[in-house]
Amino acid sequence: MKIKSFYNAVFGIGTEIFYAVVIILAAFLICIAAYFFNYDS
Amino acid sequence: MILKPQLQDLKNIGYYSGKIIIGVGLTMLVPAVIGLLFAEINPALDFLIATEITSIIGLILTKLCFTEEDLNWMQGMIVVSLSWVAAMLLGAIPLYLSGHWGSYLDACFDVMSGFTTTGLTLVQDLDHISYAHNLWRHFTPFLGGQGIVVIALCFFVKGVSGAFKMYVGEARDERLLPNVIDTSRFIWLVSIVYLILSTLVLGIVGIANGMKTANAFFHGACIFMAAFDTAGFAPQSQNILYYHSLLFEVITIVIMFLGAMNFNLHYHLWTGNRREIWKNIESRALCITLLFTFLITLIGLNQVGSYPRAVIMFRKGFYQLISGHTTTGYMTIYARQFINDWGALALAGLICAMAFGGGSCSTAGGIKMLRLGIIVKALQQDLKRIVSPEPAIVEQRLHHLKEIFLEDKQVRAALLITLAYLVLYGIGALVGMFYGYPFLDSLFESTSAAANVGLSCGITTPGMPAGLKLTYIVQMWAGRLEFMSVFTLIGFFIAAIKGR
Amino acid sequence: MKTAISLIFFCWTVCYAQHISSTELINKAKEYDGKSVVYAGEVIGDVMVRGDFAWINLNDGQNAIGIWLDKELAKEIKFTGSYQAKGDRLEIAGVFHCSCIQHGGDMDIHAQNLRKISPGKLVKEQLHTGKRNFTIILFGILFLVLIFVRHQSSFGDKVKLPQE
Repeated sequence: MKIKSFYNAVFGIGTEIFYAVVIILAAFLICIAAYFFNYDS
Repeated sequence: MILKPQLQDLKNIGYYSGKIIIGVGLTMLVPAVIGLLFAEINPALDFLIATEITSIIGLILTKLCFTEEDLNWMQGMIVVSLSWVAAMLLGAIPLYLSGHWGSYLDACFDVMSGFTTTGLTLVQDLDHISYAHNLWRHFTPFLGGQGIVVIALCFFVKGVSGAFKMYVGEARDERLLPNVIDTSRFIWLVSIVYLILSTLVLGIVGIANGMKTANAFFHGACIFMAAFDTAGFAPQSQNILYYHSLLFEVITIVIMFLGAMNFNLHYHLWTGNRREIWKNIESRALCITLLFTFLITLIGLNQVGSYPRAVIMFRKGFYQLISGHTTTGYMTIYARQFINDWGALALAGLICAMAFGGGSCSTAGGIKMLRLGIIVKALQQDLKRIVSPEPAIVEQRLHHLKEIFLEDKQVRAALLITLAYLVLYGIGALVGMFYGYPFLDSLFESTSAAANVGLSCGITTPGMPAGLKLTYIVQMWAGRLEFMSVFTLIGFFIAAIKGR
Repeated sequence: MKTAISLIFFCWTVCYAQHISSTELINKAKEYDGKSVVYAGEVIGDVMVRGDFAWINLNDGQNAIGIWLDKELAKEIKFTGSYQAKGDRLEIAGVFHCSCIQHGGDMDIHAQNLRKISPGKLVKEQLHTGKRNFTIILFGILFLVLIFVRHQSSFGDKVKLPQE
């Protein structure tokens, strides 16, 4: 039970960090898209 | 009929306030020890003096007001609001003794800014401050973000039903675990685990960036405490710009996110319910508001042409926006650049992001995602009612840790607190304009204070008028406690004067 | 001869007196963008060496600005400002960037020349006897209060009330 709790916590931390990283990447892609949109116009 | 407060009310309030004050006094031993470790004798003495004064006051209060009675709602709320003021006044002692703050009011401002996890600062010559004082600056958000009352609940109070009333008074209305004491301890567990992980990661990155080892880990711990508690204090005067490091900035963004998440969401994710992160209304609301405000800011920044490259737009545009939305307040630009380089549209997007805030029951401030989600769902429900046949019963559901049917009393509560925040933002802006600052600057700074953000456009300086300092102190305090305990305190004083 | 000396002295004061302040750089960043400036301040924090170059931050008393300089120039820095030391006071001549493309938009100065105006030094801390005495007096008062509290009731009892 304690090992399961430990693994749940580790994967939980991983999920949270993954969520943050996804948002960071999405923001970066939006910045790139905005740059190209500006560059083209 | 308003009833005058009774002696028992005062005793209950005094006793529990005394307990919390003792707790705050003991926490000041941590920077005292750090001062001794780094051979900073005078700073260590500053903290010993503060600990002694605080402990004396706390002990006398608990002795004079000793009681075995339980707290009622009014008393619980007042204990919270009063003990935050007491913590500010006593926590300012070591800062004022350091000589880095121009006045006791300035020291109180920074301590309230720390405890409320705001991050606005009036410190002078920060680059020459001692490790001890710098640690206390970063420790106050770590304590305040988790909740000063929460600390007391962990250590000083056992199995108290009144504890829940204090817990709620500190703007935590979600119980993670059946016992509020266990809830408090879980909150600390999350904080300590991330403290260890983040300090290691930031320390290693700091060393790779060329910092000395001791500084790298000290900065790492301080940056974590201020980022996870969405405070925004940094060990150096340039804030995050000091490090000149993209990797450092990315790591702080991750930590800011973690801090802006509902602690209940942490609990669900840590106990195996990982789908909650996609289903939760707050996660979804944050994604939507972040996208919306980022697009506004992006368009505004493109119009003024300040950040001509994608990487620059990310490191200067998005960074400030995410810092504002999570109500952290970390900056990679100088304060006046908001006014000089951003333009009105980009600033409007940022102000909206700050106003919205982060997750409820997190370390973040602002209106909060759950309230915004409830308001939007209520609007959806009303629209459905209009288009549905008259006899139809329209139910609205939302998912927040579990499926909830939206009730009118929830909508009313969400709308009232949202309105209170908007009024607070407005009042602070009016006071700023009264002192001669332009409208947008005043609104920016007021929103930053009341939503406990900490981004500054240059108004918050040691030279700003004392009246404005007091205004921002009250805004930070009321915003952090989400009004109820502050209103209860005001009501208490009115009852004391006018009651029968 | 006297005229020549006066002329040299005049040129020297003009060249070395024109330090621009950090506040002016921040407030008029676009005006100074890409231009050569002379900036002076105290080195604070760490000298962060990154490959062949290094970052330092110079504080002129108003703000600190990041300076990107050659590693060899950075070797001249002996003291950096902190609680226990006063940092070297440097004069940097270089190109100012409002939003440096090379460095992710940071406001910085790429140094071309460095001159040490005054060296830093360690700051020896003097024990504040007033604070020391006050600490001892307060400790005495705290001790008395603790005895008083313990004597009257058992301090440290957690409040036992009905479980929730």
